[in-house]
Amino acid sequence: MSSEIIDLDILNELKEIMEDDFDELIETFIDDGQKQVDDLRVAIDASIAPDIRRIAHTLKGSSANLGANALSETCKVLEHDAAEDNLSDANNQYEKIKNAYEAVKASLAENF
Amino acid sequence: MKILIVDDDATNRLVLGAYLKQDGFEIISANDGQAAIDLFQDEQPDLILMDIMMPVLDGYEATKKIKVLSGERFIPIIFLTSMTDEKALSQCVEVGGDDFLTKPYNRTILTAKINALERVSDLYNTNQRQKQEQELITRRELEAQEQEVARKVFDSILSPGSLSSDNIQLHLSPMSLFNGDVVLAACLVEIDTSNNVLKYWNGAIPAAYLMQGDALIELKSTNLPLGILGDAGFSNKLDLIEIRDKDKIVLSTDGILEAENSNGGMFGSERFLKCLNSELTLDVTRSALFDHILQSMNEFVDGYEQTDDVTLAVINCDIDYINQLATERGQSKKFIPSHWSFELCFYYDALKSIDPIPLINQTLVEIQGYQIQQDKLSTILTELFCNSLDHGLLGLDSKMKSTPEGFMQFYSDKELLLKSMDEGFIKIAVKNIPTKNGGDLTIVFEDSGKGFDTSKLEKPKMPVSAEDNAMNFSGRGLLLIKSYCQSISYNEKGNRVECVYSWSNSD
Amino acid sequence: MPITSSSNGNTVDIVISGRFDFSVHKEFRDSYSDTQSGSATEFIIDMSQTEYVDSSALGMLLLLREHAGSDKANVTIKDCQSDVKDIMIVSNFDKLFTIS
Repeated sequence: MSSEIIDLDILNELKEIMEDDFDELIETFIDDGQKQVDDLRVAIDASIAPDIRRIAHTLKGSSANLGANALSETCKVLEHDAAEDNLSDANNQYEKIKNAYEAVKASLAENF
Repeated sequence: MKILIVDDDATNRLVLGAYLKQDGFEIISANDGQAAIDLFQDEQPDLILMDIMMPVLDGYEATKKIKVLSGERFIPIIFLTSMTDEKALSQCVEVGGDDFLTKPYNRTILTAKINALERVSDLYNTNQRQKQEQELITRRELEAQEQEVARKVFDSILSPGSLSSDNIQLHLSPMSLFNGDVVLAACLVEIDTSNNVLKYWNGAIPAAYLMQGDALIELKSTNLPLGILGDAGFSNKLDLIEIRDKDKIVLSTDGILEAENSNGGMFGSERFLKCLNSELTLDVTRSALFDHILQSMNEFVDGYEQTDDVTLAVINCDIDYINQLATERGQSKKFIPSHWSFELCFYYDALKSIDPIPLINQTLVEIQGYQIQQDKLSTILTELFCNSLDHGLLGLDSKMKSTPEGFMQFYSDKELLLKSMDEGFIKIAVKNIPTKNGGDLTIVFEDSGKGFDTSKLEKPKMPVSAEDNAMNFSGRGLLLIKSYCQSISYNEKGNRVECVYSWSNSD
Repeated sequence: MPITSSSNGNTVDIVISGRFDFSVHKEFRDSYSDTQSGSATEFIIDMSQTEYVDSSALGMLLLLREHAGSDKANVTIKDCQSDVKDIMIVSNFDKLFTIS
C-alpha cells in the first residue's frame, strides 16, 4: 500500500547518498509541500488559474523527485486543467492532492 | 567542475545537488533567474542546470542574459523541465539552451548528458584559446609590418627636399624621428594660387592657423590621426578657405604646446596664441614670427630636455613666389611644349565602366606637366564625350531636355541604353603643336553612330537675352566648348568633331 | 552626401560639394522638390565646395529656376570657385541668377 504513496527505493537511495542532509530534504519537502497545499487552496478559492497551474507544477516536480508518485500524478491533472483554464473539478482535485500529501507526510514520518 | 543549479523549489535543488555531489561535481545553487545571473558572474560555473518557471526572472530570460555574459566562452545550459509541449522546448533552444532534462530525473541520463556537454565545452574552450593565441601572434606580426610601413612613410614625409623652399620655415626637433607610433597626426595643406584657395585636411594636428590680415583663423582638425580608420572610414574631404597674398600658415605639433620646463609646467596653447596675436597686433613684417615662437618656447623650457616631437612650420603664401616656384619645377622636369599626339579608342563594353576623361587628363599631365589648364580642358573633353555618347552612340535627342520631366527622363533613358548597348565605339585623338608659350591642342572625337544634320548647328546660338537662355535646358555644353576653343568643326556626316584649344603656360 | 539642403521658413539652402554633374541629378532634384512650385521661396545655392560643373549641371540649375517661378524666381548662387564661376559667366547665368 505504501509503495503507491511513495517509492521507497528512491528515498533509500537518496538517504544513502545524502547522509546527514537527508533529514533536511525531508523537512524541506514537508514544509514546502504544506505551504504549496495551502497556497493551492487560496488560489482555487480566488479562481486564479495561472497561480493554480504554477503551484501544481512545482509540487508535481518536487514530489516526483522524492518518489511520491501518486501525489505527483494528481498534481499533474490539476496543472493540466488549470493550463486550459478549466477549474470545474478543481475543488475535487484539491481534496485528492491534500489527502495524497497527508499520506506522503505520514509515510515519511513512519519510515524515516 | 562547478555546476550551478537554478530552481525555485528547494526539494528539487537538494535532490539534484545530492546526485551531482555524489558524481564528484562541485555544486552551487540559486532559487531564481536573477540570483542565477549574479552567481554566474561571481562564481564562474562550468555548466548550468536551469528550471523554467521561476519567480523574479524565469529560466528563458536568465539563459539569454547568461549566454550574452559568457561571450566567447561556452558554458552549457541544460533546461530542467517537466514540460513536453514543443513550443516550450523550442523556446529553450531559441534562448540558447544546449540540452533538456525532464523531471523526475533519471540519474544515468543526467550524468551522461553532463559528461557529454563537458567534453564539448572542453573542446570548444581549448579551440577558442588556441584561436586567440594564434590571433595574438598574427596581430604581433601585423603590427611589426605596420611599423615598418609607418617608418617608411614617416621618413619620406620628412625628407627635407620638399621643404626647402624659401617661403617655408621649418623646425624639426631631434625627437622628430620615427618613434614607433603607427598613428600619425598630420595636416596636409595645398595652396591653390589659381583659385586663391587654401585646401587642407587636418587629422589631429592641434595647432594649425591661417593668419590673414589681422585675423587669426584656426584650421580645425576634423579628422582622426592617420592609421586609425581603415580605407572605408577614411574621409578625404578637404576644408577650404579663401587666401590672400602674403597670408601665413602656422602648423605645430603638440610637442610645442606641451613643451615642459623643469617644474613640470607646459608651454600651453595660451602662450602659443599669444605669440601669434602679438605678431598680428604689432603688424611687424611677420618674418620674425617663426623665431618668436621658438624663442618663447625655449625661454619657457629653459634648457629642460624635451621628450616629445617639437615641430613647427610657418608657410608664407607669397602667391608670386609660389607661382614662380611651380613654373621652375615644371621647367626643371623639362616639360617643354612639344610635338606629340595620341589616340584612344573605347568600345561599347569599355564605355560602360570607364570614364576616359581622367585618363586623358592624366596622360596630359605626364606629357606636359601642369602647364595645360586642367579645368577648362576637362570641361571641353567632358562635353565632347557626352555629346558623342549621348547623341552619337545612344541616339538620345537633346530636345527631350526641354521640359523638367524630359530632363529627368533623358538621364534615366541614358542609364538604360548604356546598360543594353552592345556595339559601337568612340575614338579620341589628341594632338599638340607647340607655340611660343604653349601649344595648340587638336581634339577629335569620332563615334560609330549615325551622325546628325550638322546644318542645324550653323547658326550661332549664343543666347542674347535671358529668355532665350532660359528656354533651353540643353545646348549649353556646345556653348561652353565654343567659348573655350579657338575653333570647332564637324564632318558632313556629323559623327566626328574637331576642336582646337590653345593653351599657354605663362599664366 | 554631395548635396545637402535645409529649409528655413521661406528660404531653402542647398550645398553642393564635389562634382556637380548628372550623377547627382536625383539628389539635386530631391533637394528642392518638396517646395511648392512657383511659391515665393528663396533658394540659396552654396557652391563654395563645388569643384566641377558640367553642362547637365547647368541644365539642372535652369530646372530649379523654372520650379522657382522662372523670371520671378529668386535664386542665388554663391561663393563659386573661380573655374566654376567662369563657366557660369560663359553661359550667361549671371543674367538668370544672382551670382554672389
